[in-house]
Amino acid sequence: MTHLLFHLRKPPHGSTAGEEAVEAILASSVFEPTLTVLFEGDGVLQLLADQQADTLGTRDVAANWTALPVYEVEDLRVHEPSLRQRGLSQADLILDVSLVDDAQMTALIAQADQILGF
Amino acid sequence: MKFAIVVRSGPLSSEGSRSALRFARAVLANGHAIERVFFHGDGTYNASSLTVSPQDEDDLTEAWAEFGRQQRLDLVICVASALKRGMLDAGEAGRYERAAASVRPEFVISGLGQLADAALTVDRLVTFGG
Amino acid sequence: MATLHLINKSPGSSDALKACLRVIAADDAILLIEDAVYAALAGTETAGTLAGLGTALMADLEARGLQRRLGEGIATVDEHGFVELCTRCDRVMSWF
Repeated sequence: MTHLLFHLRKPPHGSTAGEEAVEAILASSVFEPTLTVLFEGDGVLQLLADQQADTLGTRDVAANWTALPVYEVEDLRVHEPSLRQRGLSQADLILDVSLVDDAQMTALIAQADQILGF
Repeated sequence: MKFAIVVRSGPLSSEGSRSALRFARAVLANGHAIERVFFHGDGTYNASSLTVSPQDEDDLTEAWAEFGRQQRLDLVICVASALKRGMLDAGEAGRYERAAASVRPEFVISGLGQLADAALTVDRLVTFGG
Repeated sequence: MATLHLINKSPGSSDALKACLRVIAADDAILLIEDAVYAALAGTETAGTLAGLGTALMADLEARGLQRRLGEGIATVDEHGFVELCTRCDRVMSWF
């Protein structure tokens, strides 16, 4: 079973990276591989609660992420040091995620067959 | 080994596309195979048939097209990214009643399933230009 | 199960290299391409960290006039060496 790791480092709204990642993840899920999504660096901000897309007239990116569990993409990991550095905690996020520290992130990378970076 | 190459930046938005093309050439020169080059997001601009480059500059759209043609590669641009950016083949231009097609014939417009398929098939996947 | 980490942004413009260094495993490799080769500038803190660990892509160094300003202990490769690094590692991770 191929293990794909999707790695998000960019925040929402400033670029289309998040939207493109969601689309790629959903397309991959159809093939039923092992899928992990890792939010790290500014990527943790993709999941921040209270985003109001209608103020910019853009797609509701946060809502896209909440769709993932509906498609059985449930292995979502957030790099805890990245969260903490931004003054945030799990309570600030829109989804249930697993927190990972540096060592766990290292292990996660080593488990993946392919890594798609966004 | 089988490689997949993912290109996420346009010909001018960063160096990613140029780096990817140099890498792709070296992959083949080293005796490996390229399963697919998948252009995503702004990477779809690399398929443009409408660019006009100054004489003293390389045209990456032409370089990719020529490379793809000579090596019979599967150059795929993501349909979702392409349409939003005005990257249309003749079929899409007709369907959406746009004035012109804008994609070079060496590129195929297809879905993200092609990226997923490549990711699940190849030995190495390398992403450029994010 | 080694990973080749691909960095393309200069340390002045992105935290990608710093973030990579936090989680890099003992047998992993780092390849600097595009503007990331600026991290290999002799005398910089990043070049010190990358000694014995980082490799830089020669064409990107030369384009930027860095070929004689390379930090000690930083290797260089051409495109063929880049491909070889990919085949020697088990996966490639691009940091943006």
